[in-house]
Amino acid sequence: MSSITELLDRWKRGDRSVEDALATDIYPVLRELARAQVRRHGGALTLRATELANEAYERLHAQQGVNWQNRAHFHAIAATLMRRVVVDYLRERQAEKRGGDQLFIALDDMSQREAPSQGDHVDWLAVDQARTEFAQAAPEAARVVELRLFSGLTKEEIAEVCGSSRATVGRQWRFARAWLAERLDVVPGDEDAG
Amino acid sequence: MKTPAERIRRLGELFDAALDLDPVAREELLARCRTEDASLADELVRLIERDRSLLGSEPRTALGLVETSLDALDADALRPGVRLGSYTLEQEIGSGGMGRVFRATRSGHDFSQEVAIKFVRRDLLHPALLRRFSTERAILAALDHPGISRLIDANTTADGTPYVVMEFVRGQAIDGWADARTLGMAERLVLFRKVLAAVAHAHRNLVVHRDIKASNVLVSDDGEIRLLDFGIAKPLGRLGNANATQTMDRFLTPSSAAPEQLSGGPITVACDIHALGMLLYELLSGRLPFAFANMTPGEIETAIRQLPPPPMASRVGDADLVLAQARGCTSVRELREALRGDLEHIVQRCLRKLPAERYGTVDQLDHDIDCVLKEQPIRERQSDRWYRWRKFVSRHRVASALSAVLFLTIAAAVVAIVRQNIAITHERDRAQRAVGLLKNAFAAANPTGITGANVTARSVLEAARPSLETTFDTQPDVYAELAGTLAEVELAVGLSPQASDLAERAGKAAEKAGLPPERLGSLLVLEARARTSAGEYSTAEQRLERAAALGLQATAEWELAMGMLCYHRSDTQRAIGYLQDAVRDTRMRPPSDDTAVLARLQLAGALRTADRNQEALTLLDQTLAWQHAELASDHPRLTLVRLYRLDTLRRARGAAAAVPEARKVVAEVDRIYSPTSTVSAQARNSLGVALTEAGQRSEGVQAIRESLAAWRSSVGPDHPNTLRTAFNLAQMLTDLGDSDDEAEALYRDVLDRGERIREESRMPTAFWRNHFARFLLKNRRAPDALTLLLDPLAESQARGTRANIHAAYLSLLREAAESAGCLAATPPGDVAERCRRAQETLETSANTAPTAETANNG
Repeated sequence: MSSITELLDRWKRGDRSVEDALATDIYPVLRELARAQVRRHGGALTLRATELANEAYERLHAQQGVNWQNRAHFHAIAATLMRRVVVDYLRERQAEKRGGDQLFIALDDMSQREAPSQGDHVDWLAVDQARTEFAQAAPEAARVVELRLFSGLTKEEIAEVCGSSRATVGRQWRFARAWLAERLDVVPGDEDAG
Repeated sequence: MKTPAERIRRLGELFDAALDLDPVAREELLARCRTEDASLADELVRLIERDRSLLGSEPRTALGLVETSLDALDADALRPGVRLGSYTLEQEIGSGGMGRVFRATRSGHDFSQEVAIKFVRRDLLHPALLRRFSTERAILAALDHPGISRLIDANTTADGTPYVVMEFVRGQAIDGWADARTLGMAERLVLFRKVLAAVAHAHRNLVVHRDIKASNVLVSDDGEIRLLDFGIAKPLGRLGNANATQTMDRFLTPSSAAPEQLSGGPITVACDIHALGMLLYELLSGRLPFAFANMTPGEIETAIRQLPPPPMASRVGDADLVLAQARGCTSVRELREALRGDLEHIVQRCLRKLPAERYGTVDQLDHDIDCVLKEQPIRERQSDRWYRWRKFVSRHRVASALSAVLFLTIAAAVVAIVRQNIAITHERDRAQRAVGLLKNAFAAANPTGITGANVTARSVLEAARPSLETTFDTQPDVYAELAGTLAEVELAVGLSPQASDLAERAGKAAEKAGLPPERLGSLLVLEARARTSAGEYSTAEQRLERAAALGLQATAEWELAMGMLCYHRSDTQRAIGYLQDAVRDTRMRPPSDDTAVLARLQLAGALRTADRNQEALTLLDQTLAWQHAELASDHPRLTLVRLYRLDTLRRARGAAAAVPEARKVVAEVDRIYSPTSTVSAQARNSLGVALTEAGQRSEGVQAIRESLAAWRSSVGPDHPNTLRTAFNLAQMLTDLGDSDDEAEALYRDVLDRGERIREESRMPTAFWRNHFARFLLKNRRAPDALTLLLDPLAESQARGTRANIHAAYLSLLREAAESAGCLAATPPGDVAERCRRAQETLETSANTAPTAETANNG
């Protein structure tokens, strides 16, 4: 039991190799919760990342006796998994729909924060694809994006789990956000040009 | 070439550095970055813009620049009673985008003066800029006009906050003042003209205001206007280098900015004209063109840069009775009526997105308003048709073929111009300009002058002819000018025979009208170029001799035409000589000059033909550098030169060196033209050839495929260029050997279409058929090859071309017959008939074509 606790300890000490193992344990929980949430919302594509992560935290804590040193560390791990849950979920749906309606997912608490898109609808698959590309060049900043978007952590908490400072996180976030926004947004043509 | 990841990393570093900088230092960083990598700099600018707009939409979390460097002013350092040199702050009278404003008194031994002191936010105004500004202070202070509040002083506080001291003006903002007195439309216009007088004075002193808006125009109780804030104006053209005049203008109030101020374009009087248009709009209708108050900064920017302002009348709602009454109207309907017509036209012309389409000077605007007051028609309306027409053209400029509707419009317009010319000779200048627009529109629709690319161009030009012809007898001088221009258009779009005729007629009209010899000479030179292009070399030569006799021999135009003639006649050595002269004689011309650019491209072509690839490349490189100095980096003309340079680059430096540049050109062309334009087709073709030569054959095939798609959609499936490209693709696929079905379909399509247009375009169908037959033989389909080669036209076509093609044909026929089993005692039943005909054909040919045995390649 509590192999998760052990893994988490190692992870906190800086052993990144355990992330996969952790993921194997946590991912199914998150996925199940996400599906349940979608069902609750009558199939509406509304995923609340923070809510999900909190639920997962509660469940793991209660069911498996996982002892998290603090909430931030759990969310830090969960953010990556949340991203995968969301993306996998959307891919499945897209495969089912065979290119039917374009799949958008509204993450309400995200639009209140700084999701790299305007309006309520975010094409998360596109976001994820761009983020993956971005991560190859700037892994740390990409990690900040993941945490901002898929965990309920504040900037201070993100700085802490990244072993960085609030100012650095802020800068990384701004660059990543600008880059992603530029990448994802189709700039309308200017009919007056020329 | 950076990998995408390296690029992102570099962008991240630059972005990070830029966040720490004030606007001026940031511009310097961008300028440095631009010399290193222009596209990277552009991307960085976009990212910074993104960041800015995202910050703006998210004020709660805005950090960094705004938070950290903004408010040195926030502290209680500035409050009533504080002394600043000889000034004592009295009362805060405003704060806004630029900073805070205080009323203050300046006390001396025997006087006391009321002043306004404006403290500038430090993140907006860099000390370096302030120093520069200080040197211009004298000029600003010299703006001595009753309508302009004087600049008294400019300095910085002890903690480094810049401030400007200006004459204090008591009064009310112009819109409120006019409303309070229920001024009617005419009275408002009279008041507005006072504003114009003040702005015109500043412009005459080379100062633009850059932030004209209602709150900057105060009216005193006695009705005199006073413009505030000329303190932030920048003396026109006095800051030296071009970069300084193009820095992003962040001092202004976004809602009163002109589009080019938001996009970092040059700040000129046109910005003020735009702002005056906004002010007039508001003064007359009581509204700004857009509901800025409810918009985010990003939306405001989009509106200003892209959305055409709605008519003033449409901004007045049914419930706006108070608004109407404040303008002396008894009903909303009456106000709307007053807002339509000439006033609407004047306002709209001020608010055009392109600076060049606005009024050129304040005086012109003033003149039109004067006309309205005197109830005379304004000039504006007469040119409105051209504005709308041009707007239409510019929207469609990337289209490879202009739409039929557009052509009807153009045809009607040309008729109108010509009619006007019959009536009013002095209007000719404007008609000339209109035809100039026409020329540009055609050139934009067919930038590379592909013959036949624009079938509809012919119809519109032909439609324009009859009305033009009516002026030949009555007004030969008008005819000469217009016909000369139209001939240039026709030549530019590849209609050389028509251009030849028209230029000749223009020359005759010029003689008849007794135009000066140099004008006649230039028409002869034009005709010579058209004749050369149409293949009538001796006529072209005669025309050039006549032009030389008229004294044009030493002009670059003549040298260019002569060089092109020699080049067409394959006299490359002489061509190079003339073209070198033409290049030399156009050295002082701007890179936008057609003759100058054409001379360079032609010389490069001639050098390449002479296998002097390195020299050709050097010349094109110089041409690019020369254009770079004066044109924007994405100017279509630059892109075209880069496109022409690709093949030279490949020959001079090898295919591997040409591939990256070809990729860049393709991307650029897609952006500027469209992926389905003739330009894109050519660019992709060059890329495909380079890739193939560099050994990347499947990528090369893909590029050629895309090129073919672009040709098909831009010039149609039957155009010679489409067919040539399709044939090349079929060949490449045959070499690759893994797309036989696609290759066969291409061969068949090419042959089929080639046959159909053979009469007019002399397509090498015999040559193509040989290759297709070889393909079929290679795929062990001898009977099919036999069928192909025994096509009724095949033999005679092959015989009609070069001897080696005919020889190859016969050799292929023999091989096909052998492989199909014709040599057997009893050929298979289904090919027996074909064997017989092959035998027959071979025997007949043996008698008529004795060389058949000697050549075996086609």
